[in-house]
Amino acid sequence: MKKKTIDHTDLLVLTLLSGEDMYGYQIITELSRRSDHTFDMKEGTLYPVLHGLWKSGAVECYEAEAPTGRKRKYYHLTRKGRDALKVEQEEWRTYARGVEAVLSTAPALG
Amino acid sequence: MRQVEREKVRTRRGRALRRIAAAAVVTALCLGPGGYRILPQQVRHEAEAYYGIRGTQVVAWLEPYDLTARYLAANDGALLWMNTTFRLWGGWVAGSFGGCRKIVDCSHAAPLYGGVDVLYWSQLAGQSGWAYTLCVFGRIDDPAGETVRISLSYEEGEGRVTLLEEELPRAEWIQAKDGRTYFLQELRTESIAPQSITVGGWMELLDGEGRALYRTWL
Amino acid sequence: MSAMADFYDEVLSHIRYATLEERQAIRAELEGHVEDRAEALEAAGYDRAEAQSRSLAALGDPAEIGRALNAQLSPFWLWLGRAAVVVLVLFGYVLLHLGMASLIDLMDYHEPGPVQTVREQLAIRRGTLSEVEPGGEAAYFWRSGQEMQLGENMVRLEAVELVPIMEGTEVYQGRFIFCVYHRDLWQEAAQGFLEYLTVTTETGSTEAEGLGWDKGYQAEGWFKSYRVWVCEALVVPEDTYVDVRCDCYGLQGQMRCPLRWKEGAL
Repeated sequence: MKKKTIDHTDLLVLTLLSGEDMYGYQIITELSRRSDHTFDMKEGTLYPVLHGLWKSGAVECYEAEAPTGRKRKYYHLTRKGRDALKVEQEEWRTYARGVEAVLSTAPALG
Repeated sequence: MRQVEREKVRTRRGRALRRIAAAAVVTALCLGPGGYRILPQQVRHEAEAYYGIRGTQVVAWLEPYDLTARYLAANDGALLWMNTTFRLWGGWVAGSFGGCRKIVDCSHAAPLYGGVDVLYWSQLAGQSGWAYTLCVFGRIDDPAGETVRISLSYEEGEGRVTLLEEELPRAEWIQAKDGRTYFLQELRTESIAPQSITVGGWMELLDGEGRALYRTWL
Repeated sequence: MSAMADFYDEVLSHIRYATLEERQAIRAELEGHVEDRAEALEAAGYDRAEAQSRSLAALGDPAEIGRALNAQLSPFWLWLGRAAVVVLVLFGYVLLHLGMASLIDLMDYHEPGPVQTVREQLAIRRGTLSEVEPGGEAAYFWRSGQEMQLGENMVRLEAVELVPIMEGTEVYQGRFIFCVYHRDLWQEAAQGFLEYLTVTTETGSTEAEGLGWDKGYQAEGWFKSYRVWVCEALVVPEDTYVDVRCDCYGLQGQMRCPLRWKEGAL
């Protein structure tokens, strides 16, 4: 079985954006909330990931005025991003099934 | 979530592509309808189209000065004396007649074809008269020829006044890539001729013993 | 707070070749993030200074963030974009320069556009020029349409007009009106060989030697797509045809055009 390293940060961010457009801080809090605090990544590393997705065309970026009056940069999932998300979801599920398949053959531990 | 105030932020790639598109449009407008000639060949092609001929090649050239290309182009039936200047804000510009100052018909078999052009003149310092810079050019088809004798003159009243006489030996001829022999020479002379003259005259092809084989009038 | 400013400066210092706007955007995004986090912490009960320093710490190592962001910026597109701007400015200025000149030209005379050119070219190929009409003094006039090829151009005899040069003699000034056009629909007609176009009558004229050959001039109002050229020759009733010839610069063409005395009588 080929070992695959899946950059799950991409996958998680894209999944969040598939629901609605979000800005950086919002993504961090949503991720934490939905994963029940399993994922609490270093916040600074989110922005390089977002910029990487933006550069590759998976997301679009626009500036809008928040209710507080400040300008925020929102990220929006593009069609290309949706296709990439589908692919990454499939890859993750295959990976997870593979891992689960191996685990299920292990003798039960007490 | 639809906000009224929405301003899309562009990636570097997006910005670059828009700028390239704008540059391409402007460049196309210049090179196309604007008539900006970016290559000197374009001027030569226009001259060809003006005379209805095709397929000329550059055979000889004088040293360029002030970004002006001065050269001879020829095909089987014609010889063109071309002059084009490069202007940064206009491209290669042609003078009259699409850059071709003189054309010589070479389609009727002859041992010698020739032409002359006045390039410029300047007032002589301290004395009356003018210094003329001319150029003579031609094609020699007879292998027996050894020298070209040139006599240039201008009209004054009823007769002609000699401006200069010159001989061009074979050593100064040019063997072009198309296999033919040409000559192109810049000549200077001083004269009390009026400022603007029409230069004419004749050219003779002489053989090894100095006998005249053929004379052509300019 | 200077600690915050230092943080952002540290991040930005690891980014090379970014435009001012890009730097400001990154700074603003990070600042916004820290503000949001600080607000949340303040709401949770921390004091302002504490909230801010915690938020800053939560971002992580500024150097690492800076390097990661730098890795996402491609210098290729930046420099390509800048090169495009240089080209844009240069040719933009050229266009202004050319535009000024051609605007002044356009105000003086109207050049027909491409549509009109194509129409003219098609009209020539379908029939003869309609604008050619006999003059008041013409004794004979007929439209011809006979044409010959000369290199990439076509020379077409549009019409012939014969005007008696004086009463009592049967000698006519023949005006042979030619139309020259390029074989390609969109190309300009050549004109440099026109001075070599000759019209020779069958008998030649004994009245005036030298005449009976070409004496051409350009008719007024020629357009770029075709040229109208008129040759004159003295014609007598004994002439049943004229020979139209052109031989120069390696271009050769000739045609024999019959003189239609019967059909053309006016």
